[in-house]
Amino acid sequence: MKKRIGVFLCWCGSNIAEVVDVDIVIDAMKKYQGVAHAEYYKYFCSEPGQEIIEKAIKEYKLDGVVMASCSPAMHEATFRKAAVRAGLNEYECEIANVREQCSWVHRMQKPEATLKAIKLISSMVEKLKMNEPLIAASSPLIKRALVVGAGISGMQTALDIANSGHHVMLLERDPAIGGHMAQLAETFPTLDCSQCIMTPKTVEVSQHPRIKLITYAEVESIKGNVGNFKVKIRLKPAYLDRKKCTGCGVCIEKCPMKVSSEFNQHMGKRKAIYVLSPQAVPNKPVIDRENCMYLKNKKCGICSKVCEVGAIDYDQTEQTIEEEFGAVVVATGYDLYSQEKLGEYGYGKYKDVISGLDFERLNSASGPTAGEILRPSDGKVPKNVVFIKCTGSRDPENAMPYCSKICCMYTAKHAILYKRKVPDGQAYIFYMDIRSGGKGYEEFVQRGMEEEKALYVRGRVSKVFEDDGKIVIWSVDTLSGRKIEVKADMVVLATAIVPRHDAKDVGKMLNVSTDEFGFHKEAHVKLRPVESPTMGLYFCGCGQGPKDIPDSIAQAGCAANKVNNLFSQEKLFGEPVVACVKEDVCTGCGLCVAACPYDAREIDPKRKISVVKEALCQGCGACISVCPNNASELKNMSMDQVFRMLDQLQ
Amino acid sequence: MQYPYFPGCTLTNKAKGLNDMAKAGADILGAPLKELENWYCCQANFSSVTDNLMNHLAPVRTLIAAAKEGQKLVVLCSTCYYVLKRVSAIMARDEEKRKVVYEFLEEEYTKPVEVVHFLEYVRDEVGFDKLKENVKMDISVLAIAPYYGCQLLRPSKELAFDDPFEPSIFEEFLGALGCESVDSPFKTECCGSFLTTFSEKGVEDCVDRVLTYAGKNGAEAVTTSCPLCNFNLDWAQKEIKNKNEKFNNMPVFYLTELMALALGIEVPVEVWDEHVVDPRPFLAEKGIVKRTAL
Amino acid sequence: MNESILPQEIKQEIKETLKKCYACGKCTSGCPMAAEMDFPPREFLKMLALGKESDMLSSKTIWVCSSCQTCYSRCPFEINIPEIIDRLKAYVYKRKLSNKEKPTQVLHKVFLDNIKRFGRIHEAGFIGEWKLFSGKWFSDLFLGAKMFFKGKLAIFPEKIKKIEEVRKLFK
Repeated sequence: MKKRIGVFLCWCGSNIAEVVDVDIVIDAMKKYQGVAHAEYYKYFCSEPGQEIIEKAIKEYKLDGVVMASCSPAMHEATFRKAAVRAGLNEYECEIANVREQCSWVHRMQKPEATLKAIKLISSMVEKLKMNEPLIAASSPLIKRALVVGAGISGMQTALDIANSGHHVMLLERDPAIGGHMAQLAETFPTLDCSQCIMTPKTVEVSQHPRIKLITYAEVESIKGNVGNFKVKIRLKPAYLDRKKCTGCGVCIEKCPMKVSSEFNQHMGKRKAIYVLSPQAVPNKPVIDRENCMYLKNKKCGICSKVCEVGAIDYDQTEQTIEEEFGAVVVATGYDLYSQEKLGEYGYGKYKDVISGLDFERLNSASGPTAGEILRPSDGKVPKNVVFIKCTGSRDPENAMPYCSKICCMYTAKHAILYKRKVPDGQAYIFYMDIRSGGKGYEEFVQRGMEEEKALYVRGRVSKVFEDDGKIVIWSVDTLSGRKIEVKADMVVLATAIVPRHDAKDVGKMLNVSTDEFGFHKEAHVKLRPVESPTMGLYFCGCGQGPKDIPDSIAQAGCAANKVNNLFSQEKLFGEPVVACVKEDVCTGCGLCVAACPYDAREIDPKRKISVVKEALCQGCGACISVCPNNASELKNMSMDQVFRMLDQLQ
Repeated sequence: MQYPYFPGCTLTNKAKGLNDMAKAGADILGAPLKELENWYCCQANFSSVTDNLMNHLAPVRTLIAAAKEGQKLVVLCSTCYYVLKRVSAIMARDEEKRKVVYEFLEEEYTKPVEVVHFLEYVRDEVGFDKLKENVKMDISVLAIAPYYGCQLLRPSKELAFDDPFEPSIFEEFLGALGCESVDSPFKTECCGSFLTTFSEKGVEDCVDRVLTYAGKNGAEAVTTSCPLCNFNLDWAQKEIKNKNEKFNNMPVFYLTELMALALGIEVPVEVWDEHVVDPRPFLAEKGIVKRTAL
Repeated sequence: MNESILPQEIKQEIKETLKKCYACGKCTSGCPMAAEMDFPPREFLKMLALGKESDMLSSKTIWVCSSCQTCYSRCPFEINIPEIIDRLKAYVYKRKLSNKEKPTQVLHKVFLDNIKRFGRIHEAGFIGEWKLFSGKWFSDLFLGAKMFFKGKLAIFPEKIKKIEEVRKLFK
């Protein structure tokens, strides 16, 4: 219990002194029990003002300080530092807000304002009497990050962390890195080749001394907290010793089993032993268990026979490793909305109705047509191509309500790419709005219209059907009010971006909350866009919401910076004002454990009472409001203190 | 399990081919259709105006009557199915409306009756496998395009009959009967409906599309479960042919007529007489029915 | 009194629904009857949103709609266009406003009157009245349609035991 408290009333120029009678207040406080010293000054926040405080603390041997001044949001830190310089703990300095909560709002009621100031200060004196010096708890910090997903944003975030000097493990579910960007042909608005601009990054990622790249692996479980996550990782069997393999590709060449290629959007074939693409990193194959004849029924075995270094290992099994990390960045990316659900567009029914990603593969030099635009049904060059935007997007009743953000731009790109390869062709684009916010984006769309004569028609398509080898589109031109029928050779659907099909489950496992669609939910949508509410978990890329490459890169850098911020500390210091447990009252009911948003509460199995993990506690007070026995308290904000404060305010 | 059966006005008279053949077929399949004791006209046009209770009262009356006889009500005519099912959906979700109905009819709408279409009845209560077992005549030479129309499918959330874009129950039914079913892009589009009373051109356009595309995809005939669709598809052909020489006429069957053929039921002459485009030459040419027998 | 103005509450309800429309045009795209309409569905909705309901009450659109529910099923906001059209039709019918496309209107009226009288539709009465009102006799399809409805309407009034109750429905 503090007995020698100092009260310092700041005039704040005339802000406080003009309304509150400072002499009366000082007189009253001097007489207040437990107050050893009281004085006023024109500006305590000024340097001479701070010196006055420091001097008084020493001179009067004060054990606590109440600053009657402006809001703590303004100068709490200033005054606490002054108190620390004079030898007090920072939590032995409290602020009574007599400016915002008193003088400013009671300009016309001066006598009452003076009385209120006395009450506010007395109340703070009562609180301070029972304050304890607090020191933030610290916990060890493992300065190594895990990045889940090696698409463009995952790779970028891994590079940014690694280049700051920290170690990173980069995990990829597929056999090779690059994600969807590896599938793209050219990129808007500059039309540079996707592979060309990405290859430096894939190579750097694979060769970086501080990045450990693990492909064909998935996170199985995650435990622990910020600074110390324990992650179990499942390594899928590649049936191949990657250390021995030279990547010569003979096994792939000789494998007799042809399977539809996921990377080529099922428009081409791959073998049962395969690499994702010719530029794949790592360029070592894996065997697809489902389709390998040897693994299924011990027949074939050709790949093993032709491998000169004996890298094939049919006996490989799934392995689980456990690693420790201080922070985790989730960059799991996106899928396309299942277009089979959009029956009116005939995807899946008509071969020449394809998705935007399919069209990228048709345009890609490494794709199934070696970059020629040939329609899937008969391999002919389509002379009329219809692009339909917003398929699955902006359709709250039937599909996804949101805008997928990138389709306007990539459709403009598609039209331009198409016209370059088929100069006598015509592109029709059915749109509702053209959303081209972004540097150079609007100009790019205009270029498609003016130079490449892409015909934009405002209207949503309602029916697509086949007739004599053509795909017929029923739509409308809402600007002229006319119903329109177009006979096209091929239809490209700009399909909605959705989270990975298993995003909700993965989110749950990683402790990253997801929204109603499965996109990651931010701690604050504007101010903390890459942070999860759980400390130490960050995300970037399309897993958080639809975005283009520049945005993904920017967000990746942001997430890396958050990790670096975390890793810049030697130890992890938590918030000193944390919850504590009155151990003799706690019954161990566990309500606080369930209520805690930061995983900072647990039941001690031996004593059967709740304990606080101080490094994680943020002092939010959720546990205090749910505790049925008042056994949970915030430090320096006990029930006792609150009631004493209230007494003074009556 | 036997459920009450609602034939509707048209089936009791004009669309005999639909009704009589359904009953005969159901008898053979061991799931006879027992006509609902007290049924009222469905009013043939569902009033979408949800607060227009007057237009919903007659179907409600039928539903109340049906509830006394079973949990399900079997309906064959697409229009009746559409009206009864939508009204039952309104009644199921709107307690307010149930109260008004009670005040008006002094009879309570309590037990919800599931309105099922004949196709669903055959699939769920008989089974398409059993239907297949009962087939007596090989009609595999017939290439038939099923025509769903609007009233079985839309609005799909309310009717929940089948996939609104790629329905398959009709194809499965035809498959069980042993004939080839032909897909066509307009099988779920409108036939022009009641506009037949004044907008011939609108109806002709619709029918032309439906039949032309069915033909292009290899169909020689179409089949429906809706008397109004059947009428439009059948009658409009003459005028379409007048305007366009190249148009190929095509018989329009009720699904139950095909079922009767496959099950070996003797189809009375009057039933064939109801058709505008006489299917007998077509059937004879395919060897399904001997010319002399007709 | 301006009879062509819809009651305020209906107007309000329609306006509320139409707030959602972002004019994508999917309704018109898929409408099998759009070619026959003076205002295709999207334009029709826009006119209503602009408060031109009196024009729409006398439009051809409301009578040409075949109620196939395609627009309603595919609308991104499930705007129930068939219901709006039904409302307008009901209003026109009640106030005897429109002379356009009379046959359907008469068909609707006579149809309901018949049920009112007989419980089910009475053939002779129905066709007779329809003739009288519509004056539309000669087109081939129309004759066919008459036959169709003739069959449909042949009645066994005796089957309805509680004809009084049916009448009650229409009071």
